[in-house]
Amino acid sequence: MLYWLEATAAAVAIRDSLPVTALLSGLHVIGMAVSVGAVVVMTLRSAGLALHDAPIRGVIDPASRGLLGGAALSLTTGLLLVLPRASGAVENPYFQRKMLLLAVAVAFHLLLFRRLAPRASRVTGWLGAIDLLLWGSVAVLGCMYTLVE
Amino acid sequence: MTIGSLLETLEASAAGTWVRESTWGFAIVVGGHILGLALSVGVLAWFDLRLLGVGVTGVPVSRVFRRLMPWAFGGFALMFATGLLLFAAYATDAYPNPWFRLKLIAMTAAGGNALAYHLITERTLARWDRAATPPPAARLAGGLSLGLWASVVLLGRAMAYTMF
Repeated sequence: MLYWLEATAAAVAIRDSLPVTALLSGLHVIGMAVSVGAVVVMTLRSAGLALHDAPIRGVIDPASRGLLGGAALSLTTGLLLVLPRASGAVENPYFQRKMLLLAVAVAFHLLLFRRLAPRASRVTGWLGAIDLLLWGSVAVLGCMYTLVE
Repeated sequence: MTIGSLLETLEASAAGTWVRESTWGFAIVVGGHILGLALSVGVLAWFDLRLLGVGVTGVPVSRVFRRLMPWAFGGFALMFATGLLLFAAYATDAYPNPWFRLKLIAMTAAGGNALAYHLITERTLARWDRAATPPPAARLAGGLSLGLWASVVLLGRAMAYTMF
């Protein structure tokens, strides 16, 4: 199936075009930056370190949408970037760790931090710091995967 | 000293050699560059959205700037420091690269846009600090900042793909 994916018209078009690959890679990084920025804003508000004059829902809800929107952009462009080299990617240890950590980051955000953040306490501040560490680690592992490739 | 010999000196420096030849130097510096970019551009985007009247409209513009920008400045410092190290390692390849030059132009334009906002538009801040929708000049500054920094990221990737 991975070899079939690598032979699809989309994979061939991406593999044969450096501008398309660079554009997808740039959008991938922009999506990641949007996500990390949103986590920083959520963490600061939740820990009571910034924007505490705003209703907490007025910060957490749009920031969470920003985080998931950025992650969706990164995921879409990331899948397209992996398409031409799918068989190599699944065997790459950095790619495997990145995907695992991405799943953990999404689950941690949606199931724990997103639900508890509106309570705004020191605990939620620490949860935000963990959220930020997870998303930052996903970014660094993505970088390592690109370098190894 | 010509530009060519300056670039060669940079490449031969201890920092340039470490980034280029050590096992983990390049990976550590690129990782730091990406993290710095995510922190700086990602947080700055929230101030830009506030200027556009799209995000955190319940908080005065001055307070969003004061509370969030130190984080963005930290990210910028990391991004510039690691960017300089990467340039030192591959100076002779980077300097003639057209995408690198376009990236520098976009960064300079982003800096000019921020300077114009602080020197001109911000003078009247007291009048619209709490307004959900700031005046057109402030919205223009926010929109330009978002577009220019997105361009910097895209041009940076184009540079990387045409150099390595």
